[in-house]
Amino acid sequence: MAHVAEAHTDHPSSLDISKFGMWLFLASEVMFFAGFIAAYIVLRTADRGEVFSHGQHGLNKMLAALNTAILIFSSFTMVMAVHNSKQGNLAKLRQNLILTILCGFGFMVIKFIEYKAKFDLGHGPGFDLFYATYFTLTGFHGLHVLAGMIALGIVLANAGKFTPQYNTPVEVTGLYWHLVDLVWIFLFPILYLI
Amino acid sequence: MSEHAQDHAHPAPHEHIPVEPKGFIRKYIFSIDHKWIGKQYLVTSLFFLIVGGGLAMLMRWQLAYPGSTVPVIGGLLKNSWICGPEGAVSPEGFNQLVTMHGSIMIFLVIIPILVGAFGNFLIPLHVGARDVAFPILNAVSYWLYFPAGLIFLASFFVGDGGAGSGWTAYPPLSDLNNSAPGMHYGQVFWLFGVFLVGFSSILGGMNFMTTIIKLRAPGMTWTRMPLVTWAQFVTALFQLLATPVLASAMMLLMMDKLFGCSFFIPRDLAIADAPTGRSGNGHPLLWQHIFWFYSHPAVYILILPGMGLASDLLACFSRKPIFGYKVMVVSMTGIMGLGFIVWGHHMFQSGMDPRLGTAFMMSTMLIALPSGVKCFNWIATLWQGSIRFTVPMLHALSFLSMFIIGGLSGLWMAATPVDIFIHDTYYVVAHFHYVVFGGTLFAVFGGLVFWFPKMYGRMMNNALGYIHWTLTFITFNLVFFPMHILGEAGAMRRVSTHTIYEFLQPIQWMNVMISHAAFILGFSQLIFVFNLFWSMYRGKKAEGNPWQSATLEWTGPSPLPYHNFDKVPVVHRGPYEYSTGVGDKDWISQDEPASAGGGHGGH
Amino acid sequence: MKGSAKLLASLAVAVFALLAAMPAFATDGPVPNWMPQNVNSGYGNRVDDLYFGIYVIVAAFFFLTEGLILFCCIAFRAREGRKAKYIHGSNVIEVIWTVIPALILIGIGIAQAGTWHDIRLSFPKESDPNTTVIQTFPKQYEWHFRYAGADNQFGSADDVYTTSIHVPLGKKVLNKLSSSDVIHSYFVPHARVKLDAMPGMMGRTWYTMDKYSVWDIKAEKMVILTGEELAGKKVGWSIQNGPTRDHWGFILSETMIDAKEKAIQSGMKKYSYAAIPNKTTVKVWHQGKFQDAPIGEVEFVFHRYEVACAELCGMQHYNMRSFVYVDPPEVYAAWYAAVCAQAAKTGAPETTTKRWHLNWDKAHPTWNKVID
Repeated sequence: MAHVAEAHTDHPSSLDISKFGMWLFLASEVMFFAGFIAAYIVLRTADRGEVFSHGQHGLNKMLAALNTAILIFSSFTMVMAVHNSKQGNLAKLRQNLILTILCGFGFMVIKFIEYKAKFDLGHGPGFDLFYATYFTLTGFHGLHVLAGMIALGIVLANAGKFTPQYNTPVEVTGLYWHLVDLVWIFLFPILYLI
Repeated sequence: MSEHAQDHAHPAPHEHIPVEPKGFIRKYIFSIDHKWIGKQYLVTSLFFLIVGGGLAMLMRWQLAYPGSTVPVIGGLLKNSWICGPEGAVSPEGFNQLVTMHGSIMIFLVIIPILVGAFGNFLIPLHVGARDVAFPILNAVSYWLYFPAGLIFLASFFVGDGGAGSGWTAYPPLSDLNNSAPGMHYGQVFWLFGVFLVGFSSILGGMNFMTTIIKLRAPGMTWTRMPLVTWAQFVTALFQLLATPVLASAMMLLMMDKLFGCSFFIPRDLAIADAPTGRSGNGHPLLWQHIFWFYSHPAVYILILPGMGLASDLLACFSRKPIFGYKVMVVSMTGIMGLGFIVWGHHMFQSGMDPRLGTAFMMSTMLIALPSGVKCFNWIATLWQGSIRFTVPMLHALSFLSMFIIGGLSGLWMAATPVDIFIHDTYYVVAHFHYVVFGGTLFAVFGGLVFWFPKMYGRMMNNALGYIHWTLTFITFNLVFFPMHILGEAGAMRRVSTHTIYEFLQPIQWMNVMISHAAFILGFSQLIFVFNLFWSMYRGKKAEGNPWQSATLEWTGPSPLPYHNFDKVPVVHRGPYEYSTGVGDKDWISQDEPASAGGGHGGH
Repeated sequence: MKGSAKLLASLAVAVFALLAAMPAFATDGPVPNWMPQNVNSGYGNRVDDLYFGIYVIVAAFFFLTEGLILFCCIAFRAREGRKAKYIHGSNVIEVIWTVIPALILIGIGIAQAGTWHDIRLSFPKESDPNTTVIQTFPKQYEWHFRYAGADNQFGSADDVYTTSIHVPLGKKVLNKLSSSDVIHSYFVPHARVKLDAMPGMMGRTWYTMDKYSVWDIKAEKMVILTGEELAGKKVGWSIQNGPTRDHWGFILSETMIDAKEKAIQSGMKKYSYAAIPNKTTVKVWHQGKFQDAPIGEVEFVFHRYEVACAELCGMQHYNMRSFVYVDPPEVYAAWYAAVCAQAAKTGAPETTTKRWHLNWDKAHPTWNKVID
């Protein structure tokens, strides 16, 4: 006689599905940056460190370290925002979302200052291979920060709808924001430090 | 495995039953219904199939009769991006034809029709869901793909012609804006188109994986999923993890082209002895590594869903369960695992470290194994069956026999010393057309005829179906089999004529013969397209289960209602319960109560 | 339905029979062979042996699998009273048809590894006087080659720059490859040689040409002959007191080839050496020596093997063609002495030397990346 097994007796919740989808998307984002980082490793190895180590001296480590601190702090405020949304504390939620967006904004401003200093010296992406790598990696990361800020902005605009039962957009955007931070944690040392 | 049966479906209390929207735009243009989006993908990719095929016809004319005016449309093409003043295909035009034929067929036809059309249409039906996990994102995927196609076509009309560096776009040719006609704006448009279609693909992969993992109906265990859906699952994983790497390669090349970076430009490069002005230090081989890291898995994206389609058809029309279901699943996942570590076999002659060549040769030998095992299982499925030669079955049998040829010819190329000779010759062209046309497209044709009643509620015309299959099968072999011999004779691919080479002049007759067969092959496809559209409106009305098939989509009427299933089905057995000997019919649907028989509840 | 199925099955059989018979249309030899004749005694025969070894394995699997499919289609076709057998699979059979192909595949892999090693990982010594070292530095739509010249040093003033190459019979040739613009691929079909010329990298390939390509004047076609086969023949080498280019040697064969190409361009099917005045005395190579003879006695002239570009390189890619001339060692020595003398006298133009600035001796160990 047939054995009847049950895959799911319950329909999975929308939060469950959305979070799972976002994890998959993050996996593909990791592969996207992995492509860049693989290119970085290969080019730097083949270059025997000359262009890269020379170019690295021209970067502003202090500003980058500041940016790292800002992003790590923003991850913290993001975690708090998710926590607030779970508790249904909408005022705190808004406050933490705004803080997170402001951190993103601050990051972008500092990035702009860095970029401008380089362009003033004539060190654009076409200057040498190091600057090509630098602008490509940080540029695409910057676009991701921007996308994250827009997503957070949309979440903020709809913050009134969230209840402890329904906070899917906050959680999902939070996941994305943590990835953006994580990518920077990798970019900072490989471009500025080592 | 739990013993207690759940014999009646009860939708979870919070389950949302989708309702068909009323407005024209929401219903037909920006629909979020997976079935409609699947049809959108289908029609769009068939349009591009005709475009890509037309480009192939132009190439075949030039190869058979180099330098002579293209018949019929030669006058129209005079002095255009692909033809010279005589209306004959120019050498730079030929390069564009090669490039756009390959890119259109891969990015705009095969992947969208397999994943976009069949994946969208079948996955929710096969797992017993009302829609995909993210319906809006699904529509976004299509609406990224469609403009990507337009950007591809537009690439022909910008600057001095379309991209002409092959679908592989090897830098520095594709990188330097002045290296050949079409390398500037044409190539940029091409890159942007590939990026968009890749993004669409990533979103689709994520959507389908979530659907399959999270939305399976009660009782639909992993080992009860139809192989179509298993194949789509593995494909989705490829799309999710390999496509972003292609995207990063595209963006690196884009940075090179638009901002003067030099990721793929070594020092002191010169075009026509004039320096390029790039800072250099980059490496062209890097592109090949990143590109093939995606594009080798991509060839499995091109074939795996076809394998899935063929599995369902072969089981259904042999009236037998698929032989070795679990082995089929394991071999697909094996292909996926190995698929990520064989990319280097495209680069044996590239100057890559030859020791790496040895390693990639061994992994390539191994990846032949799961494909071979699948072929044996398909043959065993036919064994002692009761084979019905319907149109879909003929296509599925063609898939099987052509895929075997395509797979076997791969052995020569995997053998590194032999590859020295046949690399970049027509041998390669023959090999991948046997896989992608002989394999995938036959499976697609079979699948379309098979699922057409579910899509449109009518049957496709049988007589036209037989005529189309016969013409296609014969001319396909006459076109692509001799290409093995051309390759054996050393004929290079991607050249606009072989006639200037003394060693190739004796076999030019074969090029002529191939071209004539190709024209018939091209024409035959119009029969299929005509049949498809004619049958949508004039075909015989279809019953709910015209093929006596056992999977879930056949339990409802044809076509299915907007919400797919009135009640979410409960699954009791595997997908291929044919000829069980229980009951008066020779199949048992997956959702029939356990008392109907058909053992192996979960295989 | 039954009738149509039979018709289709027989059509399918016909197509397969045609396909299977196709290799038998081959031009010569007991083995089906459409490949250009192998002239590389370095490893060409090993490549061909592998090719035909795999051919046998593939043919066996082809006939086994396709035969089974056809058999199933005929024996198990649906008909009155036919019932399919309800089988889900068999682990024993799965193991058998996994393990046997796996062993065969690994066997093929191991069998070729040695050949691959000898082709790509072991090279003739550059210091060996019997090795001819040629640098290949193509640019879009032209092949450019360089010999070291009289001083045996690359990069010096007396380097010999050419657009086609001469190599001595039976001696090892080492081709070093790079490119000054896009990727090209150096393809000599008769020698089973193919390697990409990568900008910024230095690739190496080697071969030993052991057969002559000569033009049979009477039969008006190219033939491939071994040294022994050519030994007794009178082979035209150069016209004495010819017009201006006699020091380059080979004016005779080049004249022949020019005549042939002109003939083809003007639509003629036949062409001959009538362009050369019949009473001219030419230098012939006969029984290992240079001799003078009237042109009427010449049976063969030295011909060439073609070089093609096998990597899409732009507009005129299809037209990127060059030649390898295989000479008897004595002829090669005479030719080489002549071109060296010429190079020492005139030197290369500055545009050429500037283009060839690449330092071929400094290559990155892992990728053979060239560093300045």
